[in-house]
Amino acid sequence: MKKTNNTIQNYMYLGTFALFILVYSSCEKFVEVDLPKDQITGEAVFQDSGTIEAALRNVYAELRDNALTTGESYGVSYLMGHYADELHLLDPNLGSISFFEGNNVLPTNDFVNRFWDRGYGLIYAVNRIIEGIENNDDGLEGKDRLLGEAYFLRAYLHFYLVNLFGPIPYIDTTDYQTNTTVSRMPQAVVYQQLEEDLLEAKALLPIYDGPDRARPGHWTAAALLARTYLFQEDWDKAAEEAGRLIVEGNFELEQQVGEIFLKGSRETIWQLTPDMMGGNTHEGRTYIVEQPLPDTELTQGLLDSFEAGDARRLHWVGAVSDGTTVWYFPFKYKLAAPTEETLECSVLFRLGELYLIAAEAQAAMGNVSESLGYLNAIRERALLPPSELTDSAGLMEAILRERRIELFTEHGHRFFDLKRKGMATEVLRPTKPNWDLTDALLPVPESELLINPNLLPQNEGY
Amino acid sequence: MQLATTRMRRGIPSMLLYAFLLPLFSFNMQAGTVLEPPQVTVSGTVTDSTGEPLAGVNLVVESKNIGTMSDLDGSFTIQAVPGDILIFSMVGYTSKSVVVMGQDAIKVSLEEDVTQLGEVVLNAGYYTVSERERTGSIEKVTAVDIEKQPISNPLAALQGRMAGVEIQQTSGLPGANFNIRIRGRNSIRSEGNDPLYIIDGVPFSSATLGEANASVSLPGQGISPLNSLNPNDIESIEVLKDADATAIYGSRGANGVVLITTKKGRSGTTDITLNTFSGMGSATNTMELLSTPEYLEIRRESYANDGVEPIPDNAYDINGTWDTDRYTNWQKELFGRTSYLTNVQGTLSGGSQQTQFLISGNFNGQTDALPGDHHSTKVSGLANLNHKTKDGRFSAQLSTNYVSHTNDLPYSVSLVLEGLLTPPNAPELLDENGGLNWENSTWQNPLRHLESTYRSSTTTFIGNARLVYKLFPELELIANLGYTENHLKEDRTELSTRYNPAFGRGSEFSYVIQNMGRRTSWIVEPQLSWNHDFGNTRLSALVGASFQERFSDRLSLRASGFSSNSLIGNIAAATTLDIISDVDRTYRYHAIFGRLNLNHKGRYILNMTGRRDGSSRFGPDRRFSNFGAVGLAWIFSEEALVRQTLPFLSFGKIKGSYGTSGNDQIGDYQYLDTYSFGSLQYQNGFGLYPTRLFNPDFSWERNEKMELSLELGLFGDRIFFTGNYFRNRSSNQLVGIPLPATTGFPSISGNLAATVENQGWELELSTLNINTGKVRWSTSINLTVPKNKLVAFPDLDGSTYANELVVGEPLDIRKLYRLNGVDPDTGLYEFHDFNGDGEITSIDDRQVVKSFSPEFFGGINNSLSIGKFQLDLLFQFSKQMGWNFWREGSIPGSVANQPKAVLDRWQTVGDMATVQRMSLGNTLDPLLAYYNHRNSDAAVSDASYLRLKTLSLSYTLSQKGKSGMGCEIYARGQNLWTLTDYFGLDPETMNNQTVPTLRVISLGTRLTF
Repeated sequence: MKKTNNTIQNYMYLGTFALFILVYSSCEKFVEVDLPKDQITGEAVFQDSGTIEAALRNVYAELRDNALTTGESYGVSYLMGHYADELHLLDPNLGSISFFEGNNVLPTNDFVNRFWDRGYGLIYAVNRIIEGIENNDDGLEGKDRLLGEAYFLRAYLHFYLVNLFGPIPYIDTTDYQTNTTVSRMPQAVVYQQLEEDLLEAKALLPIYDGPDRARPGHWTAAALLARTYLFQEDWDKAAEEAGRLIVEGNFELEQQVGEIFLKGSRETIWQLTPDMMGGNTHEGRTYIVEQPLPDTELTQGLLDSFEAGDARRLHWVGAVSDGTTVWYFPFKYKLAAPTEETLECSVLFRLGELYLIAAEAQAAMGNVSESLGYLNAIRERALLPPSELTDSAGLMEAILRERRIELFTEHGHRFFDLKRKGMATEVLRPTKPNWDLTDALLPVPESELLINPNLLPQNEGY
Repeated sequence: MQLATTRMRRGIPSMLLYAFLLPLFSFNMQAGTVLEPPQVTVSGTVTDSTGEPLAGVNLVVESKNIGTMSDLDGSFTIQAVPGDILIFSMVGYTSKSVVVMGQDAIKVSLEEDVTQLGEVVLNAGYYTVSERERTGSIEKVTAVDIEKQPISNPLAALQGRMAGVEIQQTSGLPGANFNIRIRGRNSIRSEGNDPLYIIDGVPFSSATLGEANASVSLPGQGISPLNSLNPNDIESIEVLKDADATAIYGSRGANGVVLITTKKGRSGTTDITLNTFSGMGSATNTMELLSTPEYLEIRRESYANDGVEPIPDNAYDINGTWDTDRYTNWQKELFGRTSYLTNVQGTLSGGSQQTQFLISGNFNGQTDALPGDHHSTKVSGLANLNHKTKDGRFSAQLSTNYVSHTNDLPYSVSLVLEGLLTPPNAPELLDENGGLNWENSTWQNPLRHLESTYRSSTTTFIGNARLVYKLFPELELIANLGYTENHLKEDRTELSTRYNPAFGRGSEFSYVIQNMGRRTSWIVEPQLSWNHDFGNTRLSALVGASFQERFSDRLSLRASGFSSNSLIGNIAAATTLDIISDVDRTYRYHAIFGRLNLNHKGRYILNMTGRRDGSSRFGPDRRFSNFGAVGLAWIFSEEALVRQTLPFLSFGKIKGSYGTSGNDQIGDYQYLDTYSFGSLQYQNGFGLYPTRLFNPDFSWERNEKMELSLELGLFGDRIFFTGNYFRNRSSNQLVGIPLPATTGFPSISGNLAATVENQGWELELSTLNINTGKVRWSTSINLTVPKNKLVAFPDLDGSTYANELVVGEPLDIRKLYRLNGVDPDTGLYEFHDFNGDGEITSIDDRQVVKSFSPEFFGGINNSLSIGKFQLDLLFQFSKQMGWNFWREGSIPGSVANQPKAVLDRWQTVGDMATVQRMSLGNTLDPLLAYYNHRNSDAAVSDASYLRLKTLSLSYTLSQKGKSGMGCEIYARGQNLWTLTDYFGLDPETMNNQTVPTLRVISLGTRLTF
């Protein structure tokens, strides 16, 4: 009897254990969870034009607030303004900016890392969009425009990187394994890919006349194309592209210098709108000085290069004084604080530049009168007498001077001009004892070279 | 089963309260009564060895389910049959059995149990184990010690009491975090090193629900959820350290496990305890700063050095604008106030043999050392109920814990730093009307920070039920059920009044950031436990499963555009509301675990544990992983040979363990390819950005633990020694694997073949120095010598960790410049040019490696009782390096006060000085030298300390057993005295931007009815 009991008990033990094990198996599904409400899958984003729009919006917001073209003190305008001869730093506590001003940028510099990291970060985002749209066969609404914007942005981002860093990898995939071992490409190859993207974008993009010109359109692609041709001294194409835009584009030179940077300016080809209703530009906040001491001021060299009577000197240069000293600051944007309605946006492309591109390209080709026509349109609205130069070399010099005034503290134009004209050393050395020939390029971030040796060698001089 | 149901039917309803709390169990299981021989009434008294009556002694008739308890005067009566054996037992006393011989008055005296080694039962989480027979490394602190400290965070009670457990308070502000590292830092990610907290069987997340934009006041991760526990409600805290103890927690055991057990009722008389104390605290230390004449001297000197002449109009401190004779001790004004502390705890506990309960309520109020009116108010309640059926087949343990905590602080952390830096002759804080004095806009009044406030309200609920049913005598079915809920509401209010009114900034500059976070979690853990005795060998087996879900969500808003500051309390009055974040996270977790313990002759013990874990934090193919450990112990003192040859050796054990545990602290959803809603807007719409480069293939961090240890008890365990050697290796590190930015991201989450090793020695010695009837003096010492090392890290140089880590060095290192001294010619700091390029540049010239890991740490505890006096002294010490004051502060010579050390400064060519020439900070060379100095080995120095952590003196006026009311009065102190050479505020926080730990003195009484 006792033995039977034991056997029964043993079976019961076994049974209980078996039941227990049974309950546990098939529980693997338990650890699957749904997505949180602040995230959606990459796949879902590219099913719908609305979410693709949102993905693009983030790129524009980044360009405005964080990446290369931002009007903040870590943008190209501000830093390369100091690096060249536009801005002079007054506050020595801004140590890392003083390295830019002193042309002592190290491969570990935070701002250099920022240019590079944010630039390629956005290139990844744009490549995701291109791949996402191209893999969607369901006939997305507004597919051409979305894709066109993405191609344009890819070219635009690479344009700044190639001009700051020289030979760089042109990234056109999201595959991180490929992108981990990429090599640098000669600048010509980068420009070639950039042009291909722009031609694609130009073909896809509609003529944009939407509210605020807040998105790049057909003509924005054309404008960047013109600039790209100019930088490569492909004068013929630069003149053609710029000329066509000036004639056919839905823009016109704003005749009042003080109104060029207003939101509704007819001259604007593409601008970035602020992040909130009534907001204005980062440039305004960065440069406008309400009381001394300012962090930075316009260099004496730049102030001296204004001709007497230049309306731009009056409208675009602000001044602040403590009673004894006067400091001058960029005053293209007049508003540092929000207003009831937005009055100013950050302009990335405007017709004025295209006139100067056309002028330069025509001058280079020896077409003096065509060139003068464009140049003098800019001079006239600045209330300056028309230029009557006849030799193209002198004209080229005058155009460069005009670009210095017209485009100062706008996204590194001055520095890029000095570089492409091979004049950087000659012009900058007198005021910048540390300037070396090799300073024409920024160093590639050291961390990049350490992780991906294919990016070696470092730019010369670093 | 037939038998069981019959018994259930026979059950009678009892215990209304119990039924109310657990309507599920409307029946009661009770033993049947069988025919018995005629019974007699036996009565008697129980006393202790000195003849004092003992109340609450358990009294059981062996082999029957009859029991009772002695009364206040030690008397008892019970029904028994001659020949029955009565067993008397009570915690802290050796049990005694007496045979009923028909005598009508039994007199029993119980001996105090000196060693208790065999009786000390340790909570190992899923099972319990006796101190004597454990194979794993488990440290324990009990209520007796916790209650001796006037603290509000339970982790504070562990400081200095446990070998291998390093605890650091991060600030002297109420609600501040404690850093805890159990056997060192295992993970390269600084956020992946927290232990697992289990409160009464329910995992408790220590991660803050705070919003970074709202909760800056407190260093670290904002307000600590562990503050939501009332230390006075804690019965014991056990810390599991080695593989044997932690492997059963699998993927979450890598950093150790902290088990917190709340107080439970005891059978016996019903006790009402009222424990009240109040105290005062102030900063443990202030720095020696310059007097006004000294300060003015260096300021004038720096103008001369920098060639600025004449003294400009804005040099208010020295040009006569401010009174040059004024002196204010700003440290005292800005963080040297007295804080007050009040704690009231009421507890009602009691119960019968079958049912015990405990209900307690606590109020804890604190103010801080900052100026202004800030309160931390904590109200908590605990209710625990245990029940066991008469036949002992079914038992239930219920516990609920509720805490509500409100904490006010100024938002800004700058008050402390400004206390150090404000010039000694700076103007009055308040004007004659009591408003902020801006002294004609010549300074930034430090009290402006009080116009920015931070308030957090936390509520925490923890509920747990543990149900045990004996299916068969040797087989138990156990269910552990738990639920927690945690709410946090934070308000950061920035008033425009923090600006100088001369700027005319009105309420449009005021705003509020409000954050509401919530976390709920539940756990269900069915288990089966089987114990069997094979004669010489005892076997215990356990299998169980765990299902857990944790859900948290958080909404943070920024409200601005108030038409008046008086409306700021209500965000409905804001004209602009921005959503900062609106996020939710779900975490699910599933595991199967088991334990097999074999104990042969009470001498040879084998313990095997294992766990299979699955976590929602990993990709579909990587969710599950196995962990396990083996522990072995040999109690060699039980061997006949040892007993004969070494009679003084009362206990000797060698044990060792080896196994693995894991770490999944990487955040939720990291493996997914997702887009997130950005905070950036464009054209009135939010953006979507790719959240990360996704890697669906990453998995657990693996921690391999090994331990060897020796325990020796001499002379009846009056001297007891424990020595452990451990070596843990954490590999498969979950880190962001560095990528070049050309991929679009700096890293991708993945497992890197990097290995971190923690090894070390832990030594504990406890001695009972004197033990006569009236005097008892015991000492315990613990010492930990840890060594942390990064063993491997592929491609370290190219990673984002390149500036932080060095292979072969600890994880907590800093790479620094080497200060050569002050150049006698230039008067500037000079640094060693390691790469010889003529310039001092980061990273190449930052070659000096200083480790912030402690070399050793520990504590010394002395406990002395003489009659009715009880004195406890706990010293805590740590030998370590840390950032000193030079890391913070301002360039010497600028408008900022300085430590006295700057007086040894360079003044003229040829001076050999330790501090560089005074400078205003406007010229590049002195400024660069100063910045490099902050990043040099001069900014790191010895931060070792010996601190009298706790002093407790109590006097027992009367005992409940004798007079019906127990009364104890006590005085307690925390951080009373510190011995250190640290150059800075506090070697414990090593942070000159927050309030140093407080020196607290409290007085209290404890009444028991």
